[in-house]
Formats: sequence, structure tokens, C-alpha cells
Amino acid sequence: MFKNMFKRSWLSTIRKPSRSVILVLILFVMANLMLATIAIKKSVAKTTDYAKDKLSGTVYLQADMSAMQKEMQNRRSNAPSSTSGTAAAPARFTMPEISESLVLGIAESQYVNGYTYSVNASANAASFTVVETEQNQREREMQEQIESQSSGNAMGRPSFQFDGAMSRGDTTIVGINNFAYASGVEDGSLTLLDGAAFSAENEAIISNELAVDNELDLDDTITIEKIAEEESEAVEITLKIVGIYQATSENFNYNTLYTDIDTARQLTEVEGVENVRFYLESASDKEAFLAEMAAKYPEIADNGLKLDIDDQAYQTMVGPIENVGKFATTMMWVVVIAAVAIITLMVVINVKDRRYEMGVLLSLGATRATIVGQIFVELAIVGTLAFMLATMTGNLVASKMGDALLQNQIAGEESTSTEAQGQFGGPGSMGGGMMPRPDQQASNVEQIEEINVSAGASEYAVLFGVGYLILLLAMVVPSVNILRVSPKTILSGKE
Amino acid sequence: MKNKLEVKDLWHTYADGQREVEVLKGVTTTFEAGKTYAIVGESGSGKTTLISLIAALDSVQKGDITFNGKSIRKIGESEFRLRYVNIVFQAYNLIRYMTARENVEVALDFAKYVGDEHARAYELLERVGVKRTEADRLVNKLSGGQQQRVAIARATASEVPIVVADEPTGNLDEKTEVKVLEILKSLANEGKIVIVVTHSPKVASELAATTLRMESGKIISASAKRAA
Ligand SMILES: Nc1ncnc2c1ncn2[C@@H]1O[C@H](COP(=O)(O)OP(=O)(O)OP(=O)(O)O)[C@@H](O)[C@H]1O
Ligand SMILES: [Mg+2]
Repeated sequence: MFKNMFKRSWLSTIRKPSRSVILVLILFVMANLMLATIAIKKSVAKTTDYAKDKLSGTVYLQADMSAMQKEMQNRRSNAPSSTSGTAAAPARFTMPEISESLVLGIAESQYVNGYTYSVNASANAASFTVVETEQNQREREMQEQIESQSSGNAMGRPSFQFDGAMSRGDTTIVGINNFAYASGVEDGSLTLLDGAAFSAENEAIISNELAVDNELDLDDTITIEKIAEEESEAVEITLKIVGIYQATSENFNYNTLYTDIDTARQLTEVEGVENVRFYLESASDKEAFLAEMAAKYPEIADNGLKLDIDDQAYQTMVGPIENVGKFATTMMWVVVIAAVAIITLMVVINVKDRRYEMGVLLSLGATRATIVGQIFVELAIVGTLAFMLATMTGNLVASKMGDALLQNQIAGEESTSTEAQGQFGGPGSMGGGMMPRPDQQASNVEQIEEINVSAGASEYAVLFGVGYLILLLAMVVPSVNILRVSPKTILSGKE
Repeated sequence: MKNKLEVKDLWHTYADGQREVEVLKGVTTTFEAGKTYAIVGESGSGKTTLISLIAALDSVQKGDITFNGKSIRKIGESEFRLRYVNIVFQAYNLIRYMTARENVEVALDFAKYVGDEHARAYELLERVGVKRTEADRLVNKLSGGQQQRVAIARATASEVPIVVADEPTGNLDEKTEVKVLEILKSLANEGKIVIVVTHSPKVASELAATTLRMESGKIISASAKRAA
């Protein structure tokens, strides 16, 4: 019975070469596209896994940006629009605060090898003059502009105000639990030239530039003044210089002093801490660590915080690649649907052309099922040929397509990233985003600009699986047509 | 017991657009093994409709057709077509992309023929006067008469108790016609029921033991030839 069916399928396939060749060609093109998308998806998954792995060793505690964005949308859509009397106050968002005790609690975890957090403050130089940098020049110009505008204003008040800029002093204080974890130290862009890290309160590490300008040396003292609303509240703090650093990164603000946490605390009203990072014993501990902490500290989520690998760094690394993956998924669906539609159409036409043959076979005692089977086997024959051919060319198509898509993405990303920059600074940097801060969480990771797309046995298996599934789906409509064939009308020539 | 095919009060209507056309109006008759039957009658009287129902190419609507007392409905139409009946129709009904031999082999396949299919197919074709060289050509390259003979050869490929033919000699020259009629008669001699629709009185008288005359959906007379 089956031998019979296969024999007929085979004869039909080879006796109508033009139809078979067209089908093979169509299926070949589809199979190549499909193989390419399958291979691209695999390689994207591999690359993102690699990126996650690479970043897994460092876990950040920071504001949950996606939760905040969602919240913002909710508030916007829930804002009562009917109450016209009282204009709804624009939604205000404050960055969630990270408490020091939470950080210290998490740091106790068995998985944590090291950790860092900082308290950032601003003060005015009292006993020394600040180093002229591009930033403070720019800031001063802006300040002057504001002042001149406000004096020309009829109301005598500035028409707008930069809160951050107004309350910012000329000296930046980074209180950090361990200088070794200060950003830049790890990658070597910040090095200790002289002295040692602070070990007690009111000790500071200053920049070489500041030291040279003011002829300061180790064990000298400097005085800074806390920024206060009222003149009378002004407090002066004297710091002992214990170290001198050299910073090589671009746009570095040399008026940055590194102190311990408590020293910085004296200079700011902000309670929370920033730039919280935990270094794990092993990257493979990440999942276990996150799960344990989520269970132990529900306040992380409750307070709008997130404990995870650095999302920004992850996005930087794999953003374009993830987009390629999404595109590949879309494309795969398009190819599958298009393939089903086109093959369905071709088989329907084929079945219509062959009603006579079907009538004959039915009159000879064939069941409709074996006729459907015969048509499917015919499809499977050309399909198998097309898929096999595709395994020979698919690799080339896949890698070319993968490269092209990724380069396209990277080019697109570059043109938008400049606009997006600065929209969200690092956590806690909402106060004054004008100046790049030395302590900002440096996403010093490289974007991955290459993917190695290649198809192997498992991709071929998926191709054959999906391919045959497409052929099966393409048989649905024609099968209904076959079931309606009436041998009598066909054979008595009434059609 | 001799095989017996019975048609009992068979009615058939076609839906012709909105109208219903009543084509068979209570046909009752019996066919016996080892005999040949000719069905004659005016064009449109329902001959093709009747033998299509006998060949299970269409479903019985009203009345019944039974083989040895068992209804086609019970046996199942495709099963009936496979094991009970072979047909030769006006339009040859060959698969066009196959050679004459392959067409016969398809029927041999369905009959689960054991042995050398090629040889058997050539043999069957030769019996109706189709030579080997013609047997290996695609059927749509053969003449009408040749195709008709291939169709008859195919109808003899499997051992079934009933053979029905609709104008089997319509396209044949006299010499071949005689040959085909002989084959049909020999099938009856093997114990099959042979039913042939024909317009030719000559074919009817030459072939058939019994001639059934149809008129507007009924069998109006059955004339049995005296056994020679
Ligand atoms: N599928 C159909 N749909 C509608 N009417 C049909 C159909 N098949 C046959 N008929 C009608 O049924 C009647 C009988 O047709 P049938 O083919 O049985 O006649 P016939 O006796 O074989 O004629 P002929 O000698 O010309 O072959 C005719 O009037 C025909 O028009
Ligand atoms: Mg007819």
C-alpha cells in the first residue's frame, strides 16, 4: 500500500520536472531564510549568555528603571482628566533611596566577596583654589547666564532655575567604603600616585592637579565648607591629605576628593548611598545569590530597587544583538507564514490539476487518505531535496545575513544613542546631571559588534522539523479539496 | 453459491443548481456471476448513473445495491471499489503522466499482485493488443483506441467479481472491438459479472446474454438471449 503510494509520488515528481523544480526552488529559498533565522537566534542566545556570564560576577543594587517607567505610565493614564477644577499636579518622581543598612546586610551574604557603595557630596573649597576644568568653566558660564536673565526679568526672579547647579559646590566629595573599588581604580584609569588610602574620618585623597596647583603634599590639611542655605549654618571641615591620585580618563573632574563614608556624610543631607556593587565569589553564584536576597530582603522590590547585573552594561554589550534576535524571530514567523501560504496555493493548484488522476485512483480503490498521503509525499520529496540543498548554502546565507543585520543595528544605535545619552544618568545622579561625575557607574564594557552565526546539526534538525511542519500545514486546505473529489463526476466527464 | 449482485428499488437524483433532477426512478434487477449484461437505452436515460452506483463511484441515496446480500453501504465504497469491481469508462481514465505499463501496474499494486509486475503488465496489455513498444510510452502519447485498450487491460489486472464498462468499444476499430468483446466474454467465463453500457445493438447482441433496456430512469425490458 505504502510502496504503491511512494511509487506514484515518485513518478509524479519526476514526470513533471518543471513543477518539481519550481517547488524545490521556492522551498530552497525559504529553507535558507529559515536556517539563517534559526542560526542567528541560536548565536544571539549564545552571545547574550556569554554577556550575562561575563557580567554576572558583579551585582548592582540600583533603582528599578523599568518599574519606574511602568509606574510613570500608570500614573499618567490614571490621572483624572475630568476634574477640571484642581489641575492635577505633575507626577513627581524621586529616585528610591538605598539604605546603608540594607547594603551592609546584603554584603554579609556568603556569596559576596567584596562590595562597594558611596556617598556623594559637594562642598566649596575654603583653604585652596580649585583646578580650572572644562566643567567648572561651563558651569560658571551657565550660572552667569541665569543671573543676567533673572536681572532682566520684570519680576526680578529667575524664570528658571537649576536646582542642582545652584546647590553644587566647586569641590566634589566621594565618600566610598573602600578606595580600591572607586570607579577607575579597577581599570587603571585612576591610580594612587603617592600615599595610601584613607583609614579614618577626615582623611582625603586628592588629585595630583589639585596638589600641584596649591602646592599641597601628603599630611597637609585642606579646609572645605559645607554648602548651606543660611550663611550662619556654614560648617568648615578640615581634611588631612593621605593620598594623591592620578586620573587619566577623559573629562575627569580633578576637584574630586575621595574620603570615607562618614566624612562625606557630614557634607550632605541625603541619607541614602549610591553606586552599590557586590562582587561575587563566583559568577555562577549569581542566580542563587539573587534568589536568596529576594527572599531575605523584600524591601528591595518594595522600595523600587533592583538587585541584578548591571542592566546598562548588559544593554551596551548586547543591545544591538538582542535587536537582531528579535528581528530574526519576526522574520522566522514571516517566512513560516509566507511559506505555508505559498505552498498551500501551489498544492491547491496542483490538486485541482490532478482531480482526474484522483478520480482514477479512487475508482481503483484508493482511499482519500492515501491520496492526501501521496500528495504529501510528493511535497516531502521536493522538500527534502530543498532542505538538503539549504544545508549546503545556509551557513553562508546565515553568517552574511547575521553580519548585515548586526551592522545595521549598530549603525542605527549609534545615531540614536547620542540623543539618549544623559536621559538617565546613573542612579542618584538626578540632582545635577550637567557634569559627568567621576564616580558614575562606569559601564566600561565593550559593545559586542560581531556574532558568529553558524548552523550545525541541531539547526539542521530544527530546519527539517519546521520544514516538514510547514509542508503539513500547507496540506490542510488541499486535503479538504481532495476529500470533496467525487469520482463519479470526474470519471463520467461531467466536469 | 454463485455471486449475485442485486439492485433494489434504486432511486437517484442530481441537484442541478436549484432544481433536482430525478434520474433513476426505482431500478430493480439482479446480475449473476458468469454472465454478461448489456444496458441499452436513449441518451440521458440514466445508464451511466446506474453503473456508477454499481461501481460505488457515487453513493446510493435511496434503495440498495447488495453483493451476495451485503450492502455496498456496509462494505464501504472504497473497499467495494478496491475488491469488488473494476471499471472501464468512456473517457479511458488513465493517469496521464504514466506509461501504459505503469497504469496497469498501479492496478496491480492495488490488487497486491505478487510476482513480476512488469511482466504481468506487458502480458495483460498484449492480450488487448497493446505491443511492448506502446506499453512503454506515456499514455497521453497514445491514440484514443490504444488508450481504451490500456484501460481494459487495467480492468483485468485484479481479480474482482464485477466488471462494469461504459461504452468500452466506442473508439475502437472493428478488429479491436471484437478482441475487446472476447476479453469481456472471457471474464464472464471466469465467473465474473460483466455489465456493459452500449449504444451499439451489435455489441449488445454479440456480447450479452441479457440486454436491459432503460428509459427515463427505469428498466423497461430485459431480454435474455437463448444460450448458444
Ligand atoms: N452530475 C450530474 N448533475 C446533474 N445532472 C446529471 C449529472 N449526471 C447526470 N446528470 C443527468 O442525469 C441524466 C442521466 O445521465 P446519465 O449520464 O446517467 O445518462 P446516460 O444514459 O448514461 O446517457 P448517455 O447515453 O448519453 O451516456 C441526464 O439527464 C444528465 O443530464
Ligand atoms: Mg452515459
